[in-house]
This record gives sequence, structure tokens and C-alpha cells, in this order.
Amino acid sequence: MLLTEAEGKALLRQAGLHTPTGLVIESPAELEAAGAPPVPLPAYVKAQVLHGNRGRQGLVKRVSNHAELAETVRVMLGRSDQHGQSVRSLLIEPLVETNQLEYLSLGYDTRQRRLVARYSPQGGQGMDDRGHSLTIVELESRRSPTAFPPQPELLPIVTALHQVITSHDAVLVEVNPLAQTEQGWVCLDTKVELEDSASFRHPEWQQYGQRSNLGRPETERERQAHLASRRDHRGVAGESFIEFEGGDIGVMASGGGASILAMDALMAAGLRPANYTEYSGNPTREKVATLAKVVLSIPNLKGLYVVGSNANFTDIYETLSGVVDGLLASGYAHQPGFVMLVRRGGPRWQEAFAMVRERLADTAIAFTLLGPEYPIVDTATKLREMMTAPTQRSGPPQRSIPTPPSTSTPPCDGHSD
Amino acid sequence: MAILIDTATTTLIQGMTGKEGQKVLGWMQQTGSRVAAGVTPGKGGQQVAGVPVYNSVPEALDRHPEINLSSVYVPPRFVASAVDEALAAGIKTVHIISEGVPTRDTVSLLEKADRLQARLIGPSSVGVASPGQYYLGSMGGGNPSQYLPPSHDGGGVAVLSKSGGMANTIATMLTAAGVPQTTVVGIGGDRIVGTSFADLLGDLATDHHTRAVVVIGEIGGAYEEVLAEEMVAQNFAKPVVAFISGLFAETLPQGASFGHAGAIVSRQEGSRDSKMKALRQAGATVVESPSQIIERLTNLDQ
Repeated sequence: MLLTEAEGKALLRQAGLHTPTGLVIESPAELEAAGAPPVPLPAYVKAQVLHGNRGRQGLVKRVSNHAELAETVRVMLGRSDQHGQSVRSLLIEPLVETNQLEYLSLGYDTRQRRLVARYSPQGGQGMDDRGHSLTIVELESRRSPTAFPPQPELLPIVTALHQVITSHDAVLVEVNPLAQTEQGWVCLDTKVELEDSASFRHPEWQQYGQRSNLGRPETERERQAHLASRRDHRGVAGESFIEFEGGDIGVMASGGGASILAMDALMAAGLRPANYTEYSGNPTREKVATLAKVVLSIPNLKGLYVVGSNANFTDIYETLSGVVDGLLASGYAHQPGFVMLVRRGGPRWQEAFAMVRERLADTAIAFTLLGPEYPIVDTATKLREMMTAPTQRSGPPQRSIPTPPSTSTPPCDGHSD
Repeated sequence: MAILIDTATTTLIQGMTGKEGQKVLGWMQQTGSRVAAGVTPGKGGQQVAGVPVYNSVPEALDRHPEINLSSVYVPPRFVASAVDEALAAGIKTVHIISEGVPTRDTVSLLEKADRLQARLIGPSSVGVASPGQYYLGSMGGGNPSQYLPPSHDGGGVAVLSKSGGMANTIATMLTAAGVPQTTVVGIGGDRIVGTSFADLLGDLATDHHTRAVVVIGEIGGAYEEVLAEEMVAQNFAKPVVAFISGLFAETLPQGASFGHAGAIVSRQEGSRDSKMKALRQAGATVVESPSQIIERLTNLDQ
């Protein structure tokens, strides 16, 4: 979960670091109420959105008098950033005199598999393009650093950031720029990312509300899926849920790895997913049903794509029962031409397929059930064929016979029956 | 032969009295994989399917000195203390299946494991299978018929995957094609894992039954890139066939994450392109689709 600059700075101040003394406002009225001028001028007005490059989007403005300040506040509030996130609050901070801007961040590095500090004597904008010039110092996660060789003077700052990252379960605390002033080091801007999976020991995070990592506010379905996934601790179902505009295939993938593969396959087949989501870790039938209802509440779907790997321990009967529960509860159960493709293997998959065939027999849904030997990457072209097949049917729905797991006979995509 | 686990492995299950712990015990027993004891604080003296439960790891080790691996099935918030206890008691291989372990906990456990020269597998590792010898964790769900063990003096391929489901899917494909597997490893999909692809290269190089290695990677992190660097640095001579998923992720904004905790969209290191390029340069065969894996492995034999 990303924090806004103002939220991040609050954590830095708690750790004893210095930031400019600013004012957060959510409306022009609050600016007026704060008196004139609320902070010494000239000042910066900074939109509190969750993404970088604010300067280039005109979301950080320097103002030198009160009229400019009032006008900038009026214009910036309610604007949106490049990801469509609307500007709900502004941070107004006095200009800080400095001639030295540095870069310092602490974070967990997948290369070192350690907590590391990254440092550059040149901070400011455009750090992404200068990644190679950073000096990386490994730190111990449980012990405060005792030295910071690249810039010994910064040891107290590194120590304070170490406290921030460990006590708040952040995965990244970046200060850029870090300014040297006559009063000492001042954190002019910060990016703090907290780790969602540590939320069990941080009840105080409720103040931040739900946030999407997609650079836009969470959609209602994303929020619902997320809530559903956290209702109990058994497995996940909707922990990741991304809604895409203009798609017409509802996706219920399974397995962190296979779900990515399934999405790749859809894209390669030229199909348009309406969402990405994943359930795995043996979630309950109810949890999967709730997720299925969320997916199938998306309007104008033409099909449901239920694709997963050969599960090691997820009960396929229970989880597919949840999918069918959700499907039968949705309007799509009665929509002629609606298709569903299932590709699954794992505990009780044959029983599960028999259950699907029985429960969907009297519906309008054309379905194909593919067993554990059918390549995941070929499922999307299969789905495309189903969607382009004539929708008029005279007999019962398209059926399939699963192949047993230990043979190499061709997979079933059957037109039997 | 195999890597990580074999017929000499004897497992302790931490959290064995829980629902998932009991299930995995049943599966390991079905495959003949030896589980000597379980640990659940406060439940010492009980038994699960004939296996004794102890209150602490030292107590279990005292009674079952043959234990050489602990498999951890406790909720994420208790993982740090459970693994700490196993490491402190002197267990040198600790497997963590729990998902959602905070990175701070994983990193501090890794620091400790390194000091003690112990190995962590996971977190979020479904398990390891050395077909015909030992099946650790949920790998295969108690159904060893989906794996094909190498013949007594024959060779096979090792399968390394971030995703347990994909490891299993690939093993099933290999079995159907008659390609035996020496060891199938789910390393876990977290951003920081105890055993990375590259960490296994040394063992794979010396395991004379392993003739080739299949790697199933995905976007995010640097484990595929580090593997490529280490293949070159260690002059790894066995064929490596790799597949990297995550094409669709290129349509998402940077920083977005999905699927596994470690699958984070990036335009530079960590991207699908970066991984494919690094592995190709290191001499690996990088395939565009998992179904090409079999074909490439078959070609290697000729």
C-alpha cells in the first residue's frame, strides 16, 4: 500500500526526521480558514496523489504570493493525475533554501535478499534514469546500522529510516530529495510503501483505507473482491482483482503462476479479458462463489474463463462448485450463447467435472471442460472457437469428457452427447 | 539421486495439528515420505495419524534425533517464531509453505539461517518432490503417479518453479511424455525467498542423475536474472530450458502486482523481456510456451 507524501512525512517526523512545516488542505475553504499566509511564501503546492512524476504533470507548483496560492489551490483540487486519480488533498510547504539535494532510500532487495540502503549524492527528479549510479549498502534488519560508509554524516538519517521501515513494516522508504540546510538534513519529499501482508499487526493502517496499486482508485468490484478474500484465512479468492475496461471475458484463474499464463494466452488469442482475478490455496466454496458473483456482475460478458494449473492441494470439487453457484445466481445462466471454459486438474477434478455437467445441463450455457493434460496456453484459442461457433443449438449444451490424468490421449473438448 | 530431499529425509511438521497440517501429513504418509513428529505448542502428547506431537522443536528432536528437515504450516503471523525455533534447535533445512509472510520476517529469518548455515525453502513454497524417493509438503497432493521417477541408473530433468501449481503442471506434462524427473521444486512466489533458482545450481551441477533443468519463471524480482548470471559464473554445463510468463503484465502500470506477492510489474529488471534476454545470453533455451518445453528437451537427447 502506497502512502501519500503527507502520510509518509508524518511517519518520518515520528522517527525524529525533519520535513518542511506544511499544511494539508482538502478545500479552498480550509486555506482561507488557515489565515493568510498559512505558510511562509514562496511555497510549494503539492497534490497528494499516490504516484510520482507530479512535477511533469503540473501537480507540484511554486507560488510566490497569496493570490497565486489561492488560485493554484482552486485549480489543482479536483484535477486528476495521468492515472485518473483525482486530487483530493494538497500539501502546502514553504520553500527550503538548499544547495545540496541527495537521494536516500531503504528497501528490501530481491537480489541481495536483504534490507538495503540506496544512496546517491545527486537527488531530485529523474532518479529512475540514474538507477545505476546508486550506491547500495546492506543493512541488518534487526539491528540499527552503526556506520554508513558512502556518506558518514547521514548515519543518523539512515538509522531513523531503519526505524521507520522496520517498525511500520514498510517495504520501501524513499527520501528524494534529501536537502542539506543550515538547520540540518530536511526530507523534502518521500515515498513510503507499506506491506499489505503485514496488516495483521498494524490496526492503525485502517486510517489509510483501501488502495489500489494500479494508479487509479479501486473500482467497486475490486473492493468487493478484496473484502471477500479477507473474510476468512483459508486460501485466497479475489485478493488480486483488476478490472479492465471494454473486456467481454470474465476471468477466474487459479494459481499465482498459472493465472499469469492464462492471461498471456487470452491476450495472444486476441481476446479481451474484462478482469484479472485468481483463487488458490484451497479457499472455501462460499469464498469462490462470492468471487464468481463479483466477476459475473460485470455487464456484457460473452464468456467465463476458469483456468488453473494442476492443483496440489486445492479441492477442485469444492472450488468449482463455488464457480457454478455464482454462475447459476447470475443473469448469464439464462443468456443464450454464453460460454464457459474450464481447465483444471488436481484433487477430485473428475468428480468436479461430473458435477458441472449435471448442474449446467438445463441451462443455456455452452461449456467445455478440459482436464489436467490440456495445455493452459491452448485454452484461449479453444475459448475463441467456442465464442465464434454458431450460438443456435438444438440439443443439450456442449459437453465434454475429461481425460484421466495419467494418459496422454488427446484432451477432451468434446462434442459428445 | 536428487537434490534437497531424498530417501534419507525425515521431516518434522510444525503446525501438524491444524487442518492443513493434518492434510499434508496424510499426503506425505500416502507417498511413503517419513514424518517423524509434529510440533504444536500446548498440544504435546497428542497424536495425529499415529505421529506424535510435541510442545517444542527441541523436545521433538530429543525424541527423534533422525529429524533433518522441518516443514512449517502455521499462519503467517506465527511463521517467524516457528522458524526461529527450528533454526535455533539446529535444523538445517526449513521449508515454509505459509503464504503472506511479511518481508521483514522473511529477511530476518534469512539473516539467521545464513549465520547458522541453514537453508530456508519458501515462504509460499508448495513443497519439493524427488520422485520415487520423497515428497515434501503438498507437492502432488499425495498422488505420486503424476511424477515419473528416473530408473535406477537413468537420468531425468529437474523442474524449478516459483509457482507450485505450474511445477505440478509441468511435471504432469513431462510424465505424459515419458521424461523422468529427478526433483521438482516450488521455490515460492514471494519477493524474497530463502532458496532462489541460482541457489540450486551447485546441487544440480553435481547431481549426476539430473541431465537438464526446466525453469518456470514469471515477472517481478531478479531471481531469473541472477540465475542467468550464476549459470555463467559457475560455468553451468547442463542444458536449461526456461519459460517466463507475464506478457499481459506489460499492459499494466509499473508497480502493479498480482498473482504472487513477488510478481510486480517493472519496465526494467524484473520484466519478462529482461529475464528472457538474460537467460538466452547465459545459454538457456527460452521457450515462448510451456508446450515447447517437451519438444526442446526431446531434441536435447538427440
